[in-house]
Amino acid sequence: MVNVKTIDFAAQFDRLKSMVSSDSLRMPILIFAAALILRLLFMFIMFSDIGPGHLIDLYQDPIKYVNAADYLFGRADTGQYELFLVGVGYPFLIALLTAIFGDIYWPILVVQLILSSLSCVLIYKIGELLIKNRIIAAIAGFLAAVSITSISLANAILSETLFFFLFILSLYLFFKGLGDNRWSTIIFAGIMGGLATLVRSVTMFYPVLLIVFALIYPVAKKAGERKRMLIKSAVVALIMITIPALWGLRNLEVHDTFTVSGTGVLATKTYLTGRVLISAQDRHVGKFTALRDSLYRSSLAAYEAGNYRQNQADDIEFIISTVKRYPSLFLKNYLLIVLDNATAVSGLQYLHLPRYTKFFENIDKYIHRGSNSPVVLVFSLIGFLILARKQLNISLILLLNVLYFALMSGITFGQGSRIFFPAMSTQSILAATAVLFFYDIVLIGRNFLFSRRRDQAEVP
Amino acid sequence: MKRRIKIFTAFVPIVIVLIALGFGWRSWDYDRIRNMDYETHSSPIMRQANVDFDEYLTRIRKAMTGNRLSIVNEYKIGDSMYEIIGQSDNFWLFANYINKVTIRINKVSVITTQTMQEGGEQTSQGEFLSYGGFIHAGSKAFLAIAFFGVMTVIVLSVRKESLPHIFPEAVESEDNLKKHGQCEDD
Repeated sequence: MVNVKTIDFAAQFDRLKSMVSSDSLRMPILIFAAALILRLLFMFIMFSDIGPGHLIDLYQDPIKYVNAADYLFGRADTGQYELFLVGVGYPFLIALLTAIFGDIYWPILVVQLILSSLSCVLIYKIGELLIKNRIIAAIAGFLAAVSITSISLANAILSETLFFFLFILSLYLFFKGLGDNRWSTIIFAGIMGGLATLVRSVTMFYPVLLIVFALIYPVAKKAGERKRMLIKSAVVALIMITIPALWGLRNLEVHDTFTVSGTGVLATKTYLTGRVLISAQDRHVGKFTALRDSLYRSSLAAYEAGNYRQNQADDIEFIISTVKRYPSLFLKNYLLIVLDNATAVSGLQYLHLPRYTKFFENIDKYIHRGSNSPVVLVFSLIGFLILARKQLNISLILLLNVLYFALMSGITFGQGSRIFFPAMSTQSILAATAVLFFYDIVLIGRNFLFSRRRDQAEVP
Repeated sequence: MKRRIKIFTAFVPIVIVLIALGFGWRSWDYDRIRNMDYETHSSPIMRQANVDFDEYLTRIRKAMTGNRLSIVNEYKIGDSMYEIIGQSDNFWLFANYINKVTIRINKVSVITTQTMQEGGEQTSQGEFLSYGGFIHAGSKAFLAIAFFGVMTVIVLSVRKESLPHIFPEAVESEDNLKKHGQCEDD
């Protein structure tokens, strides 16, 4: 006698599978369309609320990128410090598009909307490639499509969207390249990764992780397969280091200091170290802002005087001396900041859609219950446990990616979910696994109740 | 049946540990707010002179409840301080913040009404200064850990065959096993 429960599950699975379809283009197109529509909708509402003329004056960072862009293309004498601080990647895009369209910034948003939507498709493709489960991959793609962090960042003159697209394209090509024989895929992965680092230097240590991925990626039992994977990952790592190193050499020539961007050291000094000093002196957390601004002004003065090398050295010295003086406090604050960033909710939408402030406040108050929500993080960890039962190597790869960006985020805070955003590249896949797990649990419960009622009905 | 007993015995200690953790964490939160130094971690919120202490206390309580704070505890510290602990929800489990108002009693003078000899009253009037501070409640972190703990047991105890969308290969192999078993029976 065939088990009724099994037939029911098989039918459910076939229904869902047919929705995702054997047609490999249908789901990517659906995800892209959904993502683009949501982002366009946000943009139109934003323009009707604040207008397209206020894209760079809502907060500080966009004007830094614009100044850097103007300096990069020789349109202004100022902006040298901003270019040093933020790196060359995003200012290049701004400069290019403003050279074509003039001093208007909405074309940049249009490009970003497309890149952001493509990123959601790439998340789907990575999920499909790594865990070979189209349903989970599709859910991950749709989760990324509806993510308010992703939507609001795509509609902001900020570097995250361009960075995320380049990074996730690099990641997808890397994993694809590990499995196929074409060196062009591997080389292109390296180039995309290098360009991503030029946009945001957070991935400058990522090449190390690529080697780790090659060590744990599942291999077919062919002789020398692992060795080939390691060579491929070394090539990607080398390209990913070389491209930003060229910009580092440019900075060495111009500013006498080899760095891809100055923001990492500055953020560590003003945010992380500042917070450690406040904790060490047992001062009210409200005093942090004054200290942070004071630390920032001291660096700014030195940069404006042209003392890039000396100032960077002084900043690094300041950080190291604080670590030596308060090692446990430094570690504690660093870990607290990591946790804060990993659970932070998006706050950009308040600035972009001020008319809906009350609506967003209610969401933060009643659903997130504050400015942090551990839901996505917990779902990702549950997803990791589930996938670990299926394929431990792949689940580790997905988790290590999240962990990397979590650890890199510990140097700064106070910017909502923006800092931890790159982790969405694989965190959405883990969270999608948990979502599907809950769906199956609900089905188990429903089928259990259904079979009990059926048994009771059969009893004479 | 054996499997259900195993799952049940895995759950029970987890639930007990989580309940104990919850109570411990709550207690730790209340200790933290009690020990919080109002001079460095609070800001002045209300200063009044020439009022009764009871009247001032009532105003403070009203201000707290007006800000949707649920008062948890009140106590006096010596002769010159009074503290009120409140939280942003009736239950610690759902509270985001735990607040403390510290009332410093600067000067107190005893006022005797003219009719005291005829059974009148003494009241205390003085200058009172309040400081307000808060900490983040640990309830959200606790709920996250509790949820994760329970889900870990569920994830590890559910059979793969029962999760067809995640482990379709397990469902297919179970189907194959049953078909082969049926063929052999035939």
